[in-house]
This record gives sequence, C-alpha cells and structure tokens, in this order.
Amino acid sequence: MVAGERLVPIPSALGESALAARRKHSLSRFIVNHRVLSAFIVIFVALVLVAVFADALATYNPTKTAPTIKMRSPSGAHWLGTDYLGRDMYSRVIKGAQVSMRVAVIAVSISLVVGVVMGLMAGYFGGLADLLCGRYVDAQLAFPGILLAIAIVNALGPGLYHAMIAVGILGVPLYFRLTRGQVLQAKEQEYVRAAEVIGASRWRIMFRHILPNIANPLVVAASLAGGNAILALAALSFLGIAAQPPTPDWGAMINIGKDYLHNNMWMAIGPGAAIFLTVFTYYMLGDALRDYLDPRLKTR
Amino acid sequence: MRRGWRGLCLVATAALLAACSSSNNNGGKAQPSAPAAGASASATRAASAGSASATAAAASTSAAAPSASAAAAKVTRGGTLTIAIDSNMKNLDPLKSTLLVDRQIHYQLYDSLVTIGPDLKIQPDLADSWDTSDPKAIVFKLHQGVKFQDGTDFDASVASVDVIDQYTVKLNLTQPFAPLLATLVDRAGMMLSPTAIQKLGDGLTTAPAGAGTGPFRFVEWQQDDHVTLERNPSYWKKEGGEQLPYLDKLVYKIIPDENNRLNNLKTGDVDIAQRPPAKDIAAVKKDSAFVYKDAPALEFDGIELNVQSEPFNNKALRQAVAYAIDRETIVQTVFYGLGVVSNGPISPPLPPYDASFKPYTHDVAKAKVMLAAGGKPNGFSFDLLITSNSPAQQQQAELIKDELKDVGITVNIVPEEFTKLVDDTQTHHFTASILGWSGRIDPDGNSYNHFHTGGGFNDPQYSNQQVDALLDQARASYDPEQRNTLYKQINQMVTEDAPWIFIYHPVTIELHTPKVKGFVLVADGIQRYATVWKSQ
Repeated sequence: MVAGERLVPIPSALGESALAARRKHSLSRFIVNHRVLSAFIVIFVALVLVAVFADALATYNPTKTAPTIKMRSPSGAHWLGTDYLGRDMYSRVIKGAQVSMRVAVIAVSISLVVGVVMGLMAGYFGGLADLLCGRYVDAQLAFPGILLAIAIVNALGPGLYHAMIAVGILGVPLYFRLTRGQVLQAKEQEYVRAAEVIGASRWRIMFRHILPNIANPLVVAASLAGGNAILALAALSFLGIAAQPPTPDWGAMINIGKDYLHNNMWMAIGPGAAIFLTVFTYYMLGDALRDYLDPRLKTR
Repeated sequence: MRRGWRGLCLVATAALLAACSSSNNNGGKAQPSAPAAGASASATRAASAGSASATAAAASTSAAAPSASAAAAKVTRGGTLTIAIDSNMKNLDPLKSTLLVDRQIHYQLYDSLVTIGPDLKIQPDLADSWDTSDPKAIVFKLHQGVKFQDGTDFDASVASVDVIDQYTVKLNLTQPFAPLLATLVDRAGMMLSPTAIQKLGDGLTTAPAGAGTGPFRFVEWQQDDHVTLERNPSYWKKEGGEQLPYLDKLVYKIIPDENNRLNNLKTGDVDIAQRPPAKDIAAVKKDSAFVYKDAPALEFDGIELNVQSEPFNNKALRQAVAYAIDRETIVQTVFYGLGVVSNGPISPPLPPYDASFKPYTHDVAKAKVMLAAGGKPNGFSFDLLITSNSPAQQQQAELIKDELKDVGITVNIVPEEFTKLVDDTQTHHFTASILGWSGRIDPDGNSYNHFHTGGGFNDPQYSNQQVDALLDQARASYDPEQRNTLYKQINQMVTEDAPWIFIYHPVTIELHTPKVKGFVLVADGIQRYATVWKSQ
C-alpha cells in the first residue's frame, strides 16, 4: 500500500477517498466505526500473546507426567483436568496454541510465497508460464485437499514440519488464482504502463509496482487461510501423522481424547474449544478485514 | 454358563483323568519307557474334547456360578457368532503365516496332531497317542475315521514323514528336541488335505476351502472387512455325545480400533470383542451386559535394544535405562493393572517362571550410577520406534520419555507403521523398538530364537556364549526339572544383560455378551469356537 501511494496512486480495491478518510480517524473513531473488526483484532492479538507467552501462562510443565492423578475432571489445581498420564490439560492447551500459531504462520507463508510468485509470473508473463502454472494448479485442485496432504506427509515422513509443508502446499492454488486474476487486471493499468515506459525491469514491475497494489485481497485471504491451516493441521495430527507425542498439539489431543469421552470428556473438550475459538477468530477477522478493505462491500 | 461342562465332566471323569495324566507325562517327557503313550491311546475323542472344558471349569474365575445340575442337553445349536478381531489377516496357510490374527482363523479350520487345554498341557488331537521312547524320534498313532472337509481321508499318507502303517507315523530328529510336541500344537502340527493342497495351490493362502479337518470350513475373506466360516457338518469330534461344533457360522469382523471393537459389542453388532481397550475394562467388569474373564498370557512386551551399535552396545547404559523406567507405573497407568511387570522372557504361565526374580526396580540413583559406569554421566539421546496409531504404545512411550528425562536421557519417539517397524527391527536398522512376543507354551518358544546367537528373532543381535549353551542344553533335555532350572538361569542372564528391557506380561482376555456360552479361555490367546454356542 505504502509503495503504491508513492507511485502513481491508482485506486483499485482501495479507493482514494477511503484512504483519505481513514487518515482522519482517530483510534476511538476507528473502533466505533469498525466494532467487529476491532473486537476480532483484540481477540487475535490476545491469541498471539497466549502463543508467545505460553510457557509463562502454563501452570504446569505440559509434558510432565503424573500418573497418580490421571484423568481428573477440572478443579482449582487443574483448570481443564488432567489427561491419561496425569498431565495438566490447561497447560497443554495453552502450549498447543504455540504449536498451532506457528503452523498457521509457516504454512500460510509457504502458500503465500509460492502462490503469489506463481500467480505474478502467470499473470504478468502469460504464455507458457501461465499454461504451466495454471495446469499445475488445476491438477492439484482435482485432488481432494486432505488426501493430498496425507500423501505428502507420508512421502516426507510423519512430523510437524512435514505437515506444515503439506498444509502450505494445499494453500497454493488459492493464492495463485487470486494473484493471477489481480495481476491480469493490474497490468493493463496506467501505472504499470508508466513503469514500463521509464524502463523498469519486468521483475521490478511485478514486485515493486503490481504486488503492493494487489496486497489487500491477499491479506484477507491470508487470514482465512490461517484458519484453514490450523484446521488442516489438526486433521493431520488427528490422523497421527503430524505432531508427534508428547508435543501438545490440539488435533493430537482430540485424537486421543475422543477415545476417552466415556472416561474423561475434558481431554477432548479443552483442545476442541481451543480449535473452535482460534479458527473462528481467523475467519471472522478475515471477514471483517474484507469489509474494511474492500470499498465495494461498504454498507455504512 | 459353565453348568453344562461340569455335568459332562462327571460323566467322563475316568477317561479324563487318564487323558490328562498321560498328556502330562508326554508334555515334559522324562521316562524313556513311556507307559503314558498307551494310556493316552485310550482317551476317546469325546474325552479329549471334553477335557478342555473340564479344566476350564476348574480354572475358571468366572462370577457366573456354575451348578452341576444342568446337562449338555441345554446347549442351543445353530446361529451365527460374530467376532470383532483386531487386524486383517495376512495368510491363511498355516505353513506360511507369521501373525497371531492368522492363527485365530487357522485354529477353526485345522486340527493339529496334538493340542492344549487351559492348563497348557499337551493333549491328544489328530494323534491319539505318541511314543517318545527314542529321544531322536517320535511315533504318532493317528486318530482313525477322520475326513478332511473336502472328503479326503486323514491318514498317514498326509504326513510327509516316515509312514509305519496307515495310522502310524514316525518323525525323525537329527538331535533330541524337547519342545517338539509343543511346536506341533501350533501351525507346524496342523494337517492339510493333500487333495486341497494340489487343487488350491496358492489359493491356500487366501481361500483354503476344505483344506482342514477342523470344526469350521472356509467360506469367504473380504480383505480388511470380514472373514466368514461355516460349520463343518462332518466334524469328527463330539462332546458328551453331541456333535460339534454347535454354531452354524462364524463371522470375524475386522475392526482395528480397540474402542470401536468395544462399541460394536455394546451395540450388539458383535458377540465377542477380542483385545478390548484396557481403560474400559473396569467398567466392563461391573456391567452385567458383558461376560469378562482374563488369564495371565504367555506374551512378553518390552523395548528391544540394538546391542551392536551406539549407545546400547554398552551394557551399563542398557541397565541404566532398565533402572530408570518405572514399569509398575506403566502397568498401572497404561494397562490399568491388566498384567504384571516383566522380568524376562519367561512369562507367568510357564513352569520356570520365577516371581521372586526382580532385578530392576525403579531407581533413579542407580540409573545415574550405571550411566556414569557406562561413560555417559550426563546422559545421551536415542530414537525409540513405536507403532503408529497405537494409543497404548504412544502412552507407554510418553511415560518412558518423561521417566528417562529424569536421569538425563533424551528419548525421541518415532512412530512407524507396524510392518515397517517390524522390518526395521528385524533388519537391525534401529536403536530401540517397542515390540512384543505373543508367547509359546514351551519356554523354548519364548527364548531360543530371541536370544541365541543368530536366532531368527534375535533383532538386538545379542550374543552370549553361556546363554547359547544353556539354550541348547535346555532344548535337548527331556527332564522337566532340569529344564526349569536351565530356563530360570537363561531368564536371569538375559534380563541381566538387557538386550531387551522387559516391561510387562499382559493378560489374555475373554469378553462377550452373556448369550455366548461354552467359551474356554486359553493363555495362548487363541480363541477356539468348537464348543461355543449361543443362547437365544
């Protein structure tokens, strides 16, 4: 956005008047005008802080076993009860936030970098680049996503980092298509022509001129994709091929917890609620960001 | 549910006593004159079939109080018994199979020359009697009038050994081999129809229709879904004059998830659940909707250590791990007390088992001393292979990881698919691996191949010449007392050397609805359904 303003400001997704109006608003005005967005920004920041300070917030060592107190219901000492080895569920769920947030960041980064670079090249160069990237993405989309992830993880070997790569690859088509569409629009615009005229290289045009101008929808997509990535990783952990024991991962905790629903349902409820809250926040944040960033969707 | 059998026993007492005592002597052969062989020949087939039930009633720990008044007439014939089994089968040809789940099917299709009851003593089966007066040969008298399910006569021509007459065969040995009869109870002693072998060829492995003499015959095997067997109408065994088996059909539903096996039993979709989840046993025991029993199993479970590579080529470091693991806590926490701490390959039902031998108690200080003695006072790290998607193994590994952390040893848990784990371990591409052995009724079957230099199951590549000599000696001896002494010694030396960290001996579980009657629990973990029936 910043780079876009420095150049010839051609408003596309974000109108010029909106930009100007936004500058005038103080923080309180912002909150009043964008209550939903503000609320979810706060929740999101809180989640990030929980993840960052998980070790300080955990009341026990999340991997320390205490068999004599296994499968306890919630109490003052153990806010979410204990699991099958007597480990504190609250501490494990908190520590699990770190795992999930890291996954969201790494997996979305992989999708974003690969998808955007492919999309830029396909959209801007067209021709063979477009054909190859387009066919690849079509092929990937023809394959059920979670099955592809399972295949990738099994090929690389079970583990959290391999699962992140798999989830990252799953997100590539979304960014590719989004970026390519935006680039096709943008490259006909005058600021691109102008850059071409002054002799900017094609890579410079793609990354310094076009990319900043199409960033808004990518930010929205990244938020939605963060939620998707956490869900996909939970699914892979649930299947036992992502986070390995004793890593406190929400999906893995639910996987074991589901077997103990009759014995101690809290082993599944804690991590289940955590996944729900986190993914919901990502989705709502993405939704609110879209409303905020896309003037066409402005209703008030 | 036991009443029928009690009544039956009273009728057949004399014959039973003869059968039991004779097979006793034959099981651990001491006297070369073997008068027992003649005595066991007198055991009629009714008696031999009944003896299993008789000893079951005696060994029973069931809450269902038996009353001797009822008679065998109360048995209900017919019906389908549905069994939840834990894994797909691999091979239905007993001579090519290596898995316990395969054996669950084999025992319904095939009879062996000899069999065992719940007391694990050898009993006559297709062989009425045997003579072991020559330590390097054994002569079997075969039961007459038995037909294979495909109509072929069962006689001496079936066995690929020396034929003496139509119903007498002789097995020659290159050297004395005490565990022979015990070996013949299992797959090695199962008799297959020569006609079926010729006709079916490789089909024996997937669809062995008519190949056995057993109580049930093969109908179909849907891979990863179910196996169906049906009643063999011309089965050669009777129980108290009643033609066996009682059931019309057996359906094995393949359900790998232990919780689902139990849920299927709860909903009535299956009648019997094999290997139910340990965590639910306490609730199941209290529930009158189920019949539950268990018995100490022949199995041993633990961690195999590769003694030919770092770090476990160092005995002190192996012992450090043994001291650092709290096995009693594992048994109580992960297995909910269903089993006992293991102190070697000799499991509780075996005669040489010594409950007083407890070399490793959980002792962090001692573990640290051993670490220092092994030259790693600050600990070390190693990869521990476990079977993926096995909750029990995962929990065990997590607990072990946490316990070893207390002495400075770092465990990296590496889950692998079961067949890959077995393959990696067998080819010695491992450092430590959680595995078990289902166990055999002769101590030789729990030790020789595992701990003899170059043995077929010696994954850790353990080699101790003294142990080798003792194993050879025990195998060649027909004196039960001497064998017991030898196996106690072997058990002690192997546990001391710690190529395995022996963790626990589980129990064999019988779990079904109250409708299922006549079940006989045997410590070898094989469920036999010839005498089982279902009330309406």
